[in-house]
Amino acid sequence: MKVKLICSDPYQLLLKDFLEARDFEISKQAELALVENGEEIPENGISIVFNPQKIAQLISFLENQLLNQAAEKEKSMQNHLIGQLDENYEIINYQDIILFAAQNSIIYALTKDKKYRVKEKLYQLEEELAVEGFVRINKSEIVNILHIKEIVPWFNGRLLLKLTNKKEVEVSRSYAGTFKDYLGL
Amino acid sequence: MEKFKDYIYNLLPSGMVGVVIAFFENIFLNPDSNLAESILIYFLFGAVIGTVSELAVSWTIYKTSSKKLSYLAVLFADGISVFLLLIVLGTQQAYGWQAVLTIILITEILALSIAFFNNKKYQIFNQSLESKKENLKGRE
Repeated sequence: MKVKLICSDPYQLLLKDFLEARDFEISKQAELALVENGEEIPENGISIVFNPQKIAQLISFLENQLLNQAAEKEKSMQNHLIGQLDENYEIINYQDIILFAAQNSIIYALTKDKKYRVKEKLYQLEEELAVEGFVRINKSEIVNILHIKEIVPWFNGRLLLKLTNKKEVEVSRSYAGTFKDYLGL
Repeated sequence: MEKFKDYIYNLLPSGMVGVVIAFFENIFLNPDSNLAESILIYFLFGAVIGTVSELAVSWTIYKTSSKKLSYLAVLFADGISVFLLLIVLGTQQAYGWQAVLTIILITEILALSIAFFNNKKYQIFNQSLESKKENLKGRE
């Protein structure tokens, strides 16, 4: 990203070092300008006017913004996994996955209209995606809580889940306890 | 096989209520009664009432999501099944129709209680589901 600096020399040097160390490019054509109070504010683009006495606050503000951006970027990078559809590989967002199902030792991720093959094991997905709202419901399936439309208490201590894709899956008796715990019951 | 085992596990608690009633009858009401026969018959009644009630409530909720219909279904299903059981056991011949009606009335009260608790469970499950979904959406 490009930044224009409009300030006296000591602040120029300080801000230049700070920004360049964080992959910013100092350019006179930049849309974003850091302007020292009293200097002329450019007519175009976005300007942040700072008071020289509060330079430490400006740096701290910039640092926080950059940290937030990095965290957001990292988070968005973690919100998906790679699935194989025929010969192609596609990025699948967790929120689009309705169910993980094991069939003949192969794990599939089911979205509204697609069925991807994924390389992760069911127990890995169960552990890693619990915080994302995924919970194991029987020996071969993990469901995304966000895609459950309704829970029906079913026969013999089991539960029936109606999903948003109009399919139904059963929580087996042996996993019903864990499922209830997950819901805070 | 697993489902059959689950079915037996489910049937036992309902049947055991019948066994307790058989002991109660033998100790406090009719010490001359045949305990083994009473246990068998009451176990059968308990199992039928418990199982039919659960099936009726689950099925009605699954099909209609209506609590009112689930109460009606349980009344109907339990009434019919216990009535048929009483006819098979020859209760009306041994004790008369009044006994049959009394047993059916008791059955219906038990069945409605089971339906009430099943419906409560249905409501609590879905409330918890919605609150969990809200938490997860809020975190995003």
